[in-house]
Parts: sequence; C-alpha cells; structure tokens
Amino acid sequence: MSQLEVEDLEVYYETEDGPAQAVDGVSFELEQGENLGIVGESGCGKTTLAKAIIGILPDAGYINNGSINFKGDDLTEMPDPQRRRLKWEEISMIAQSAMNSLDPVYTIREQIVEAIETHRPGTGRVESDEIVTEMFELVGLDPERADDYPHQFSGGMRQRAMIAMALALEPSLMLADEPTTALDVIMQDQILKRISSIQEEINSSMLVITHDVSVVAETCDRVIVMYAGKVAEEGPVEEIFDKPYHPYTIGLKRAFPNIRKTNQDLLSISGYPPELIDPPQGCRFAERCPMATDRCREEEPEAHYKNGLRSYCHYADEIDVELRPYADEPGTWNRAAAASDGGVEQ
Amino acid sequence: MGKASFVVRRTLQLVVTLWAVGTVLFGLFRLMPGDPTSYVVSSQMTQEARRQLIESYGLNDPLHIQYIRFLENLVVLNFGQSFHSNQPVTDIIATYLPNTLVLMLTAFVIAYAIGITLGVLSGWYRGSRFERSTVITALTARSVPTFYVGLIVLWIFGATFGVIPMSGMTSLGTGGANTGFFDMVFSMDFVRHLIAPAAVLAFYYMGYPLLIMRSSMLEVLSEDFIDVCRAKGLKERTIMFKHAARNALLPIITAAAIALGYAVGGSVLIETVFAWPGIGREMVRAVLRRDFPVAQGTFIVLATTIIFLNFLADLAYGYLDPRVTYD
Amino acid sequence: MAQKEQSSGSIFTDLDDGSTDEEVNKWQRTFRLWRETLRDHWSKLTDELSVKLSMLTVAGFMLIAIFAPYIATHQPLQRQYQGEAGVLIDKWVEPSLLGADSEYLLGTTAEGFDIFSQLVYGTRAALMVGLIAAVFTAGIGTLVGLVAGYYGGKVDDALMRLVDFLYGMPLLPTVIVLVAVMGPNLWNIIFALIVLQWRSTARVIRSQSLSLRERPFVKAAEVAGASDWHIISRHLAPNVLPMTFLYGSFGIAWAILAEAGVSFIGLGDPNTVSWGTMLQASRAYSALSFGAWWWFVPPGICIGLLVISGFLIGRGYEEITNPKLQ
Repeated sequence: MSQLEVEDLEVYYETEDGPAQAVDGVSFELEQGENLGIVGESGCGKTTLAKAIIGILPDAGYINNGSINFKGDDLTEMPDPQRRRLKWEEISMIAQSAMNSLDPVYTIREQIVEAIETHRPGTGRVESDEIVTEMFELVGLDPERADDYPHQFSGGMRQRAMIAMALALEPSLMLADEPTTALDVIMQDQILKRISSIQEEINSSMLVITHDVSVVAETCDRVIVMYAGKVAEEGPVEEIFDKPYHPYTIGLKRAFPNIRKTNQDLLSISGYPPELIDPPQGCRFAERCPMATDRCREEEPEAHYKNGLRSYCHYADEIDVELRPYADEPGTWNRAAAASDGGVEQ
Repeated sequence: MGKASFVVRRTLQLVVTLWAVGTVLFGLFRLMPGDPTSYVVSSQMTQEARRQLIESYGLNDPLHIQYIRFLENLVVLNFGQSFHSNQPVTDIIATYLPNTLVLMLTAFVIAYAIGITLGVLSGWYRGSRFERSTVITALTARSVPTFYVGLIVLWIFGATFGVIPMSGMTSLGTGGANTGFFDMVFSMDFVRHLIAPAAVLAFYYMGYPLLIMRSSMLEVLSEDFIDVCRAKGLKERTIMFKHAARNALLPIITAAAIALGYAVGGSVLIETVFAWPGIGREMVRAVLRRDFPVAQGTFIVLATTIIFLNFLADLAYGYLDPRVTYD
Repeated sequence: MAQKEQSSGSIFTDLDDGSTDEEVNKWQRTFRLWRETLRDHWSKLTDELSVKLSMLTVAGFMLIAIFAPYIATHQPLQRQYQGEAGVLIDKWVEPSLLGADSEYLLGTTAEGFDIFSQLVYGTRAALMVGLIAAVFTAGIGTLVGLVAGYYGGKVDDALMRLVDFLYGMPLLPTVIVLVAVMGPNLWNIIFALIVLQWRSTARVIRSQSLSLRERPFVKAAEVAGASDWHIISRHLAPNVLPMTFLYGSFGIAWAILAEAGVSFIGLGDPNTVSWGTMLQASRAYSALSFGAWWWFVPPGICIGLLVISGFLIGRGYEEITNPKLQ
C-alpha cells in the first residue's frame, strides 16, 4: 500500500460567482521514501492540492469529492482532533522562505519547541533544546543562533530554519511549497542537496510543489504536471523530461532554457489558462493546444499509458508524428490561440 | 546608533515641542480680547490700587519681558495665581487633575479591555453577523458626541429613573476639607458618581481599539506564518491569541498611548456635562472668564500629557517590535 | 487565474491614460489621469452598501440645507408668540408630532424658538463646517505630505517638526482657546479646526509619499528628466488620492463633532443655529430636568447620522487603500 493515495480529489473555493474548481479530479500515489514533484503554472491548482493534503484550506475552500488516503486513513473523513494530531508529526510543511513564513515576534527556537510541545507534551526543556540543536546542525545552521528572531536571518538561513522546523518531529511526509523561489541559484543548489540527503537519512517522502521545472529535475523521482485543476501528465522524471506525451508538457519543456542548446529561443505557449468557475467542457488545454480538434473541445481525455507515463491526451499516440517534430517552431504554439477549428497544420 | 541615542534625541524633541507649545500659548493668551484686570479688580478700587494690582501682575510690562518671565516661571512650574480666586494655579491643578485622571483611566482601562477583545474576535470571525454588528456599534459610538450620550444617560437614568446622581463627583455633605483623596475614591458615594461618566466615556473610547485591532487582525491573518501555525496542528484558540493577536497588538500599544493623550484633551466635554470637577472643565471655565494663569496652566498640563504620552508610545513600539531598528 | 491578471488592488500603479505625447497637452493628460483614478474609486466605493447609504444620507442633508427656507416652518431664531396679540412668548411648547395641540412640529425652546426649524437650519452650519474644514484639512495635509515625502531632507524635517508641534496641542482645548481669542463665530471655528486638523493627513500622506518615491516608476521618471511638479502631480498624487479622500471623509466627521463640542461649551456662534448650540441651549435651560427630550434628542441624532456617514465613506476608501481588508 502506498503511503499517500489521492483519488479523484475535487477541491473547490466558494466565490461570489459560484464555486471555483481549483482541483478537479486529481489522482496519484506516493510511495514511502519517494519524491514527487507537482509542477504547473500559477493557478493550476497545485498549491490548493498541497493545502488540502496538509489540511490548511482557507474558510472558503472545501473538499467537494474524492479522498486523500494517508497510510490507509482517509484524511477527508477524519475528525478534527485526530487530523490535528497527524499534522506536523506525520505530515509537515516547508513553506517559502518569505519574510513572514515565521512568526516575527517569537524566536526560532520558541517556534520549533512549540511544535514539539504540541505533539509531544511533557518533552521537557532539555530534550526539546537537544532536538533544536540537532535540527539546526542537520540543516547547516549554527545552533547558537536559535534564539534569534526571523528577521535577523537571511533568506537562505530562514529557508533552512523552516526545514529544520519541518523535520523536528521526523515526519513521514513533507510538503515543500516553492522551496527555492526566494533564493538565488547557488543557495538553491545547496538547499536542494541538503533536503535530499536529509530525506535519505530519515526515509521520508516529499511532495515538491513548484513552477520551477529545474528544481523537480534535481530532486524528484516522479513528476505530476498539472493544468487548470487536472493532471495533464504523470510519470518518472527522466521519461517526462526526455519524451513527454502531453502537448502541454512538451510546450513547458520548450519554455525553459536548455544549457546544451544555448542558441535556442525560449518559446512560450500563447494564451491563458481557462476560468475555474465555469471550466470548459472538454480538455482544459484545448484552447492553447496546437493539436486540438473538436473532439478535444467536447470530450475530456482519458489516461493513455506510453513510455511509462500516464498522459491525458486524446492524441497521445499521434504525438510522436504530429507534434514532436514541430515543437521547436514558435509558430506551432502561436497558431493554437488564433485557430478557430482544430486540426494540425503542416 | 542605538537605543540610547534614540532616547536622547526623542527627549530633546520633547523639550523643544514643549517650549514651542508654551510660546504659542503665551502669544494666544495675550491676544485674547477682554480686559483681564476687570475680573481681578473690583470697580470699588481706587485708580491707585488698581494700578498697583496691575503692576504686581506684571501686565504692564513690555511683551518680551513678560515672555522671559513666563519662561522662567514655566521651568520652575510657577504658573502664577488665579485672577479669579487668588489661589496658586499649581494648587488648583493639583486639586482637579487627579479627578480627571481617575475618570479617564477608569474609562480607558475598561474600554481597551473590552475593545481589544472584541476586536480580536471580530477579526477572527470575519464576515459573521457578530463582526458586522460590533463594527457598526463601534462606529456609532464614535459618531455620536460623547456629551450627547452623557445627556441621554443623565436624562434616562438620572432625571427619569433617579438611579444616578445628576452631577458632580461627590454628593453634598459627604467628604469635606479633611477627607483624603484615597478615602474619597473608595467610598460608595464616589463610585455612584463615577459610573455614569466612566461608562459613557468607555463606550466612546472602545470603538477605536476595536476597529484598529480588527484591521490589524485581518492583516496578520493573511500572513504566511498563520498557515504554518495551522499546518503545525496548533489549536485554533492558540493561533488566535498567541500568534495572531500578539502580532496584531503591536500597533494598538502605540495607538493606545496616543489615544490616551487625546482623551485627556477631550475630557473637557464629559466633565462639563457631568459637572465633574476635572482639569478640562476648569480650563474651559478659566478661558470663559479670562483667568489667564489658570487657563494657561491647565492648558500646559494637557499639552504636556499628550506630548509625553506620544513620546512613551514611540519608545514602547521600539521595545515591543523586535524588528524595529533605531536610526 | 482567469483571463487577465487583475492587478490585485494595489494602488501603487502608474496609471496609463493611453494617449500618445503628440496628441494631447500635459495638463489635459494630468487631468485625464485624475479623472480616471476618480472613476475607478467611485465604482469600487459604490459597490459597498454602507457607502451608498452614507452618500445618500449626506446628499439628503445637503438638500435639506439648500432648501431650508422651504422646509422649515419658521425662522430659527425668531421668538414665537402666542396668539395674535404677540405678547406672551410661546415657550416650552410640546411637539405636535407627539400629539400636542400646537403648531410646532417639534415644539419650542425655552426662549420660544421653533425647534424643528432650528433643526433644519442646523444642517447648514453642520455641512458648512464639515465640508469646508474637510476640504482644507485634506488638501493642505496632502500638499504638505507630498512635498515633505518627495523632497525629503531639510524640507521634510522642517515640515514634520511643525506637524509634531501641532500634534502636541490638544485638539479641543486649542480650538476653544483660538475661538475665545478670535471670537465665537462659525468661520473662526472652521479656521481653528483647519489650523490643527491637517496634521494627521500630512503625516500619513508623507509616509505614503516616501515609499512611493522609491518605486521604480518614479525613479524612471526622474531619470527621464521629468520635472518635480510632473512627478508629484502625475505619479504621486493620483496614488495618494484614496488616502486623501479617506481623511477628507473622516475630516467631515471630526469637524462636525468638534463644532458641536465647541458650541456646547458655550463658544458657539450666537448668531447661527447649529445642532451644537441647540444642545448647549437645552442644557442651559435644564431641558433635561423638565423632560423636554424633543429639544435635545433630535440634534444629537442628526449629528450622529451625518458623522457616521462620513466615517463609513472614509472606510470605503480604506478598502481601496488596503486591499487586504476586502
């Protein structure tokens, strides 16, 4: 049995104009010790998905349908007190290193100890302090600085402090939400390496939520590509980067610089993601897809299995011929937005 | 540049402001129309006696001499003597100031305790009917003049039902020249007189901390660390008070110190309505009868209180918020 | 998320009026920019029910003020006499609205003045004080704040010292002293209020101005050689406008309350009727003890309505200046 099994999860937000379907039928599995990346542009639902799993949806958010099974128990059906016990102890979160991810009026030590005391009451001062020291050393921070306030730390140090706090109770699953966005490239590299090595030590799994594909490439075993609240494609990292079978993933690939082909222009997929309040009927990507046909606009695609990947495209089988050879041409991605009826043009 | 030089600089600013206020005051009072001597001197006096009196008050000297003397006196806290009663102004202040302070502080403490709590709750339960009704009540409390509420309260509870006394701080017959301040304060009679004005004032004061606390809470609740607190599995109550309210409180402390300053200035109205023998009411009476020394003295006391409280507010904020640096 | 990324309510944007340099001259462009800003505010403001109601209330009072002579039944400061002979003063008459047999809707005062007419004419004093004081306090405060924030240095220091000093003067007592010096007259009251009240607007606008100044779009304009005036009027001012209006609205509220207080003390304008002077008179003649509540209750209600409208409109602007509160 996998550690985490998400099945047909639907997470909606109440808005004035009706429910916004932020996560609309997402399924995946995560094994113990595995790293799974979730990528997609902003608004694709990845953060909502993360919040639903951690259990910090805002008041307006609710789980409409589906289940989140963690070690056999369905989190969506769990009573609050039980859920709260799971939080941090089993599932913890590494938030962004933004200035206010840590409470500014308490020291780092106080905030870590708070987590310890909440879940293991009676731990005592001495032992708590030992844990703090251990965690600090694990992430490469000077334990003497545990009594500093968050604003006294640099961005990179704050990120590490967040990791230290997330690890304090040795959770089985960690969710890293944009763990490197606020950092420069060098720091990013260091942090990622650290996270990987710590993970191996304690054999915890990790969900990495990010829009930065390179982070996923470095740290994850498998990847889910999300688009407009649904899974577009899923599979092992190497296969997805090497030969994806969903038009969106192909487009994403071309949107990031390739260090080997420095002369390549970056291509962006023109157009915008669809409305979440009244989403389109068929495939969500149809509007921007160069291969879209009428069928795409009417029917939601089912899972196709190719190359070890799970891809949600009607024409996954045809991609090798119809799209991949033309993926490098800017015209391919612009035509989609302007095209009235679908069909691939030469 | 550290805390020490910050404090020093602020203190200097304090002194300069006080001096400026004193000077403007001096100018203003000298400009007031109406012959002050007519209040001092009775028409029975001879010309000679009148001239002597005027001389002794120094009202004939050139303005700059008067000014220098004024400053000198100010520094040693000599505010002169009342034109009206011949009592030293400092005595008058000493008599009336404590009464104002008792009233103000009582109302303030009640108001802030209630206001802050309601503010935290309305910020937390945002969008609820509770929040909406508290906000409307707070706004109404600040929109209706305090003295008007005082009038209504006096009318309903005093004139109609006779539950509260109609005026003053103590009833005739109680107390007397020998009753000490603390004896008086703890008497039942005093409390009966205190309830209405304190309640009316508290009702008015309450709105401000409530509204500020609510906005502050709303700002804090949108911060990332609140999400992290939830993810940590902390109880809602813990998050609301230990994290959200604690952060939201920072602006309140300074706002409270400043509001206290304003409160002192605004004491004028409530004291007038309830005939409470406080320094605000005394100032107004002095102004109306052109009793310069008393008017000046009481005004300076009011101004000093405000300036000093603003100063404390500055220091307090620096102390409470670990992020503040002293530049 | 949806089609276009709506700039999430940040007021710090360089608004584009979409015209090219050639077409239209500088003044017209500045004017257009302001007009667009104001229109944008208006739609956001009127979204809120409380703001709509408040604006209606203020409009209602303004109509009453303008048409006072047609609405009032008598002259507010004209002693009313009983019957034809006109010898006995018609005082302490009970209101006809409460069923008494009289020709006075809200009865008369101890001096024989018609209360209803006083109430009606009182709107004029209230609105005059409120609007004039508000316009000047917000205006002066904004100007000073913009200049201090933009120029910084000695200019800022000097102006803020002045503001600090003003903050040291207790509001009501100072107004009382000023009015005592200048004479109890509506204009003097307004003047005294303005002298002190611009201080809060100045401080707030200054700090906004300071942070706006560091924004890339202002820096860019400076580098491009734009004149100080151009930057202030085109880039800074439209962005601080919501705050200005916020303080303007609050200013109306504060001014009306202050005038009521000053009049209540006895320093009100003896030749003009205001709700504050009505309250003062009612107290002077012990209306409380006589239970003539129709004399002192209505003026307070009017004050409350107008003041809360000012606050609610101001709070409407608060939502514009601080999107997190939405």
